[in-house]
Amino acid sequence: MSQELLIETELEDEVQPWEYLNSANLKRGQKDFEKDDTQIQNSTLQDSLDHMYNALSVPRAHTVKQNVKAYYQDGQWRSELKGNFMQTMGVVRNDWCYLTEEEIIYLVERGTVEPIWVKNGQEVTMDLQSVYAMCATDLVRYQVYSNLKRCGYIVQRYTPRECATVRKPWYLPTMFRAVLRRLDILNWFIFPAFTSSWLKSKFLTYSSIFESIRLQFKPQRQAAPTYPLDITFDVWKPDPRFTKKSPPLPDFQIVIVDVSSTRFPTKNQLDDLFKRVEYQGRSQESLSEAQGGAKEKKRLKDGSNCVLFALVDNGVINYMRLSQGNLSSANVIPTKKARGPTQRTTK
Amino acid sequence: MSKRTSLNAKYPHALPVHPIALPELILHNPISWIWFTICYIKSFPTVSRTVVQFKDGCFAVDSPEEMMTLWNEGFFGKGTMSRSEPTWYDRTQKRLGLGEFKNLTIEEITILRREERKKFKRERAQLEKKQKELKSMGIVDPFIEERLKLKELRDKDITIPLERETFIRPEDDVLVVKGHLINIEQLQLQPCEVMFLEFALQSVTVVTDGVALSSNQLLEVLWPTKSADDSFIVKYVVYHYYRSLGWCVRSAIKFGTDFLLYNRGPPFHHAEFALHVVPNYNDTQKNTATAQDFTMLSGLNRVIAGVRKNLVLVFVDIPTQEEIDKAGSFQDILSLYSISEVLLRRWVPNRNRD
Amino acid sequence: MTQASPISISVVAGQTFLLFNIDDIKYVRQLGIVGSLVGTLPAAPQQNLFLGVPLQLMAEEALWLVEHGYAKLIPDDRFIRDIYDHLSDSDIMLIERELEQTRQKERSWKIQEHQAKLDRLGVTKRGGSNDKELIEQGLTVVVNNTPSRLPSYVFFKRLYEESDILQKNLLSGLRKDTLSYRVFSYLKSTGYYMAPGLRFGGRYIAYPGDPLRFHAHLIVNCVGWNEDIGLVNMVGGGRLATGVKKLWVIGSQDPDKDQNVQCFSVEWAGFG
Repeated sequence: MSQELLIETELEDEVQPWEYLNSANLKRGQKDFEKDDTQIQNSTLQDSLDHMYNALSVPRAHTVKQNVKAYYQDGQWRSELKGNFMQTMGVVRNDWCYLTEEEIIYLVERGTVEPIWVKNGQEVTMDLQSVYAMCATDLVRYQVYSNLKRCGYIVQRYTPRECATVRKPWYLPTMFRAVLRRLDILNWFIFPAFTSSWLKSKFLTYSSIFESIRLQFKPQRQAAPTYPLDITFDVWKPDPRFTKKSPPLPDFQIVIVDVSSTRFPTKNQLDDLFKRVEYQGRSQESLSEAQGGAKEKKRLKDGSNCVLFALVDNGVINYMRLSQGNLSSANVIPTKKARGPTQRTTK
Repeated sequence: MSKRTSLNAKYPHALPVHPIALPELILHNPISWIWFTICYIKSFPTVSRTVVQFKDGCFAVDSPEEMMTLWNEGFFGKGTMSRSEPTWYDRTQKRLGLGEFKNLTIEEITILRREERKKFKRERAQLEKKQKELKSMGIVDPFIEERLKLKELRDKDITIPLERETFIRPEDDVLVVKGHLINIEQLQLQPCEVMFLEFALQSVTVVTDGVALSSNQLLEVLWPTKSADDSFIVKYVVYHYYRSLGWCVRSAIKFGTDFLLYNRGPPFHHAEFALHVVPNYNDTQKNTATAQDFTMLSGLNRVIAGVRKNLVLVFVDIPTQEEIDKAGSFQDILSLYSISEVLLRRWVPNRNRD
Repeated sequence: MTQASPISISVVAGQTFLLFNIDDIKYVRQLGIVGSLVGTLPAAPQQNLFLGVPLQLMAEEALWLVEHGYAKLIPDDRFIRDIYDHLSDSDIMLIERELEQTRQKERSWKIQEHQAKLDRLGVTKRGGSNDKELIEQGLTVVVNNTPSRLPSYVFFKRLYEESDILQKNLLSGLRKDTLSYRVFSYLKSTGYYMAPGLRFGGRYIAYPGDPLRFHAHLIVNCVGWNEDIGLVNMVGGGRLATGVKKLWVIGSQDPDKDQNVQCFSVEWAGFG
């Protein structure tokens, strides 16, 4: 296989050996391609498995001092007003911090919170399986939530916001431009494309040739989609100044997809979704106008109104970034004019 | 001369239709004005006309000059015996020792690369064999030195030989007539390229069995069904749209999708965008039935990202069959469609990314 | 390790199949079922490479285990609620007493350790309430993976496992005749270990042995016997697979004949 076919793989693509769980630099372990039934292969495998089972068996424990109790009663989870997580999670009401389904599972699973079943004034410490059973209604949503939390992000359920009006750069109104073009005497002699007289036009530049063959698309009326897409989460990069009461605009927004049951959205659904997204920097996107060079390239590739799709396949999560493109704004027409005969003799 | 200027000099024409060349206008000189006006009136765009043969379902150009014209003036088509630009003639001349030595073609560079890779694989296989032997004896891997040597081999740049060896095969007899190499390579064109050259640029005549096809006859060949979502018409709308914006549009089949967009052309820049065409019907049910699969798109995204390009989903709004049937000219039909773009990219939740 | 009776797979939130018990996880792994760990690992909660309990099984993995008699299904929402609803006051008092006993052991051990430390440092003054408070705060709170310690756990587990009607109902959601299950079973019978294939654009990726020890060989897609695969898809799939050193595989089965699943592999080739 030639070099140019190789596709980079990431650490997440391969199952990593658990021996590296505690090492500072996670490098790729040496795995085999084929079974060779050697004693070494078998014992290495057993070692790896033992490492993994040992790590899995470490009890979910913490000290009484660090412990935060959360009580399950009447279908709701409320925790004590204690712990760092309160800066970004839960809703405080009547001296309790009420947690959503994904928040409680996450906090119990990572060992921060002790889940307690309340019955007739008596309390029983619950276990992880019970917490899942009692409140998990959407595990796909939970898995994306905890994946992002483990990376350090602040994650909250989506709150619809009014989208800031996008400040469009000031263009000469189209009609005015058309009139200007008409005044350009040199364009009087360009005949309609796709006709026999087109080749008699006086094209001075490649630009004029390309422009003349452009198609006029009919403007499309957009029907609202039957099943609009739901934005599930607002996500912020870690921020020590974040407050639950008045959070800033999120850094990005997440739509969750279970790939076993959902197909890619239709154009209708996407257009409708792009109208609803709102995040830091969105309204400034179209301002960085064609300045040429690296900035324009980046703008062209980034698009506008971006949203992240979290794809979940049986517990495995991959993210896809979608945005609206506008390749027609790119400046790719060659500008070099053809040089003709000069009055003077050529040097 | 910079690379950019030399490329512009080598490929001065972006299309087979050229703008008129006018003399410089010296504003304060009235004679210059007169001369300019005369040239303006007398000049018309020059067109590099070519003939395309339609035979056995393929569109091909076999005249060597016309092949080069279509390649040089917009990078249309693909050499049937080359990777893209038709270079079979040059390569074979060198191989048979008939011509002068010029720069290496991409095919030749690939061959050299593959030879180096084979060498690397041989050494690696030997290393693995040694490892396996030791393993069965219960010893694990001391070969750090050998591994380093392998790494060197892999990272080494290919060495370009100063002299090209000739390599003649018995079957080469048929290729040489009276001491000259005959050209058996053709430039093959895709249906949308032919349509664009014939309909939009009017620079090509399509001939089948010695008879020239009219525009309508060509359309009949390319789009016999006349159905609104026929893959020819949907792809043609996309091809025409991006070509008219100035992009050089070529096939992306080797990446598992529809088109690649080049800024100016392959010799100038690597392609930046890969287009995946998605028909969008007015009918929700039909859209849901033909919806793309996330897993497949995820895989495609990965391939495209692996070659450092950007994936663009190009949605094409499909008109109803009635609208198509009612429309007059081909141009009217094309206006019934419209295009919108959705950019797709992988996102990794590393804190430093956007 | 052998298991005499079948294990139980928790059915959570509708159609998700989870295992919370580590012994069960070990057991199914020996049978060639790997699953995916999807929980935060308490030992290292700020990373996504190594995850902890629970283990999520693909529908095909759960179905395979049940079909071959290795597992039963349990609807956790009902099961857990039954256990907790049946906790009597005396049950709870018993649990508290046991917990207190464990605490007491830990307490006295910690006091011993603390006194030994003071002795080593040569401190004679024995602290009063301050030290006691410190030790109390330092006691351990443990959250288990499963409610196996609760009194009616075993009873209800058996109840759900042995109800044929319930098992049949739960299984009706999982269908044996889907193409994806047939391809899964076929590949498994030849020794492959399967995992979800989203990362590589496929339904599954398949390993020739345990994924902890081997690189994956195959990216598997299931296609209908008469389905149009599309040459362009084949090119793209072959390119992706070859680029990550795997094979692109399509598996299918003729619905009209009683034959094995057929698989074909595609890889990118170079011509000189």
